[in-house]
Amino acid sequence: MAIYLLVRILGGVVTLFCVSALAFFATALAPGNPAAVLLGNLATPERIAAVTEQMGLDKPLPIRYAIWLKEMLQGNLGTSNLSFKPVNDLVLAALPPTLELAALSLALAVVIAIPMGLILAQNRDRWWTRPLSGLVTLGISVPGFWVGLLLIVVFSMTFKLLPSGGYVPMTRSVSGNLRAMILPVLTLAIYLIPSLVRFVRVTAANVLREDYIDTARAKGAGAWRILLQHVAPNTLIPTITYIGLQLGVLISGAIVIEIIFSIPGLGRLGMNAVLNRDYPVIQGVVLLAATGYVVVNLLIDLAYSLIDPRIRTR
Amino acid sequence: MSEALIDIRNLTVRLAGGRDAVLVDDVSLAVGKGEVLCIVGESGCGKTVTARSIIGLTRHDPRFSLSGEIHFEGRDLMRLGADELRQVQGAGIAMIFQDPMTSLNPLHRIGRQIGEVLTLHGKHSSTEIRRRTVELLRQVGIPNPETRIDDYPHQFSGGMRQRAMIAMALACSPSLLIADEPTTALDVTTQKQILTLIKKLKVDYGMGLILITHDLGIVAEIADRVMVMYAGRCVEIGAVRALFRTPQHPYTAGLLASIPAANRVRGERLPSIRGVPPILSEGRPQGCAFLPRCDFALGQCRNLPPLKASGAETDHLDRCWLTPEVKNQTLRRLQEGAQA
Repeated sequence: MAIYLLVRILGGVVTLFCVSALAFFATALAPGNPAAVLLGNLATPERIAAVTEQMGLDKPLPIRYAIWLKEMLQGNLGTSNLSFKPVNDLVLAALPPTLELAALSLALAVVIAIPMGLILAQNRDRWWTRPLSGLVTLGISVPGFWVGLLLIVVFSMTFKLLPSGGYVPMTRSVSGNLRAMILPVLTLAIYLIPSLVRFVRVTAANVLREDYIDTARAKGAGAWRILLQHVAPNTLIPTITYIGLQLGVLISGAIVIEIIFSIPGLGRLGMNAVLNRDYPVIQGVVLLAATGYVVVNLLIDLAYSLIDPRIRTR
Repeated sequence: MSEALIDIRNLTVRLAGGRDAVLVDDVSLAVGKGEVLCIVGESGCGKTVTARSIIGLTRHDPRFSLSGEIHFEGRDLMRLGADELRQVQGAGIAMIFQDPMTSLNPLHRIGRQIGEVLTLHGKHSSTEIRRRTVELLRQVGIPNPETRIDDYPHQFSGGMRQRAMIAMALACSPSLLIADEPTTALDVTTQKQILTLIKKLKVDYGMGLILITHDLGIVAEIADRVMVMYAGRCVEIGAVRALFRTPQHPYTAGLLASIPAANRVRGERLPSIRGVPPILSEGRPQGCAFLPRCDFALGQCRNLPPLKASGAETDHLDRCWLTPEVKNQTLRRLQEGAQA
C-alpha cells in the first residue's frame, strides 16, 4: 500500500512537471511580445527593447524556464506583466469563487445525477424512462453557455429574481453570496448532469445484469433493497473515477460560466491573462488547475481503497 | 413419491415481444419431500430458464412472459404478489447458481451476504444472525468460520465460494433447493466435494432438490428421478433406473450412449448425436423438435407426440411416436453397443 501510494505520488509529480513545461513553453512560444502589449500606445522600438530586457525576456528560453521553475518551486509564481501584482496574490484572490462554484455545482450534479441514473437503470424497461433518457441526450448536446444565457434571460431579466452576475464574498454576506451563486451553479450543474446520468445509468444497468443481483433476488430481497445495497455501491466505484476524470470538464466549464456571470475567478483571470499575453499569470493559472486535477485524482485513488475491499488488501 | 413438495403444471416461458419464441414449452414436473430430480439436456434447452422460473427470477423480467402453475406448500407461486413471492424466495425455496465467482457481491463480507437472508426472513438480532451464520459456514465445511465470516468473496477460492452460496441457500432451512449446475465452474476434485456436501445436507435438512446438470455421472449418483429436456420441452421423465436402463426417447438414448466410459473398447469412436439443437429464440421445427437429428424418424414425427407412458412403469413418460417394441429393441441396442 505504501509503495502504491509512493508510486502514485511520484506519477503526479512527474505529470505536474510536464504540465509546467507545457504551460511555460506554450505561452512563451505564442506570437506577440508582452513588452509591446504592456507599452501599448507608448511603444517605440527603444522602449520595447528596454522593457523586454527589464522583464528578462531577452534571455534564451531554457534559461527563462529554469529561472521560472526555480522560483515556482519556492512557491513564487512571479509578477503579473499587467498589474505588477504578485501572481500568487492574484491567483489566491481568484481561487475562492472558482472553488465555490466548482464544489457547489459538482455537489448538486452528483446529488441529482446519481439517484437519477440508478432509477433510470432500474426502470429501463418502463415507458417513462424513454423521455427522460431523451432529455439526457439533449442535455449532452446543449452547450453550457447557452443554458447560462437562457437562465439569465428568464430569472434575471424577465422575472428579476436573481442577479445576473457578479460575486459577493461569503465574508461580506452569506445570503448575498448564495443568491449570486444560484444561477452560475445551476448552469454548471446542468452542464455536468447529463453525461454523469448517462454514465451512472449504463454502469448500473450492467451491474443489474451481474449474477450476484440474481443471488440477491433469489434471497427474497426487494427492488429497493437490491438497488441501494447491491447496485449502488457497485456502481459508485467506477462513477467516482469518472467524476475525477470529469474534473477537466468542470474546470473548462467553470471558465465559460465565470465569464458569462462575470465572476472574478480563476477562469476569468486566466482568460484575461491570455488576451493580454500576461505570461506569468497564464502559467500560474494553468499550473494551479493541473495541480488541482492531479491532487483530486490522487485522492480518488486513495478513496478507492477505502470503498473497494479488493484493492484494500493489496 | 408420496406427497408432492412442488408441483409444476404446464409451465411455459415465452420470449416477450413479437417473435413467437418458446423457451420452455408446457413443462410439468413434481418433486416430493426429500426427493432429487435432475434436469438434464444440452446447453440452451431451457433447463436454466425452468429453474429460474420456479423460484420466480424470470417473473418480473420483461424479456419473458410466463404461464402455468407452480404449486408449493399449498399456494400457486404464479399467482402470488411480489411481496408474498419474496417471502418464499430464500426461505421456502433457495437456489445455488452455476458460477460462484460471480454470484457473490464483491463489496460485501461473506457473513453479511449470508446474514442478509436471515434478515430478510425475519431474524433481526445481530448476535443471533452471526451465531447462525458461523454455524452455517461450519456446516458447509469452511475452516475457521469465526474469522472467515468477515472475509470478502475475493479472499475465498471458487470451491469455498460455492460452499458459501450453499450456506446462504440453507440459511432459512428451505424445503426445496434448486441447484443450477452447481459444480460446472469448479475443478474436478472440488466438484466431487461440493456434490457430496449437497447430498449430505439434502439429507440433514430433509430438502427436496432440483439439480440441473449435463453430467450424467452426477445424475446416476444423486438422482431419484430424471427429466430430460430438449428444445424447451420435456422429452422424457422417469425414475433414474428405468430411464437409464430403458431409455424411451432417441435423444435420451443418444445422451446415454455418448458418455465416455473408462472400460470402453479402445479405438472405437465415442458415439455422438449428430447435428445441433435448434436455437429457441429463432423458432424450432414443426412436431418433434428432435426430428432433424433423429435416426429413427417417421412421417408421423411432423406432429408433436404427446408425453405418455410407453414402457412398463406408469411414471416413466416420454414424447416419442416410436412403438414400445422399437424403443426397447433399437434404443436399448444403441446404448448397449456404446457400452460394449
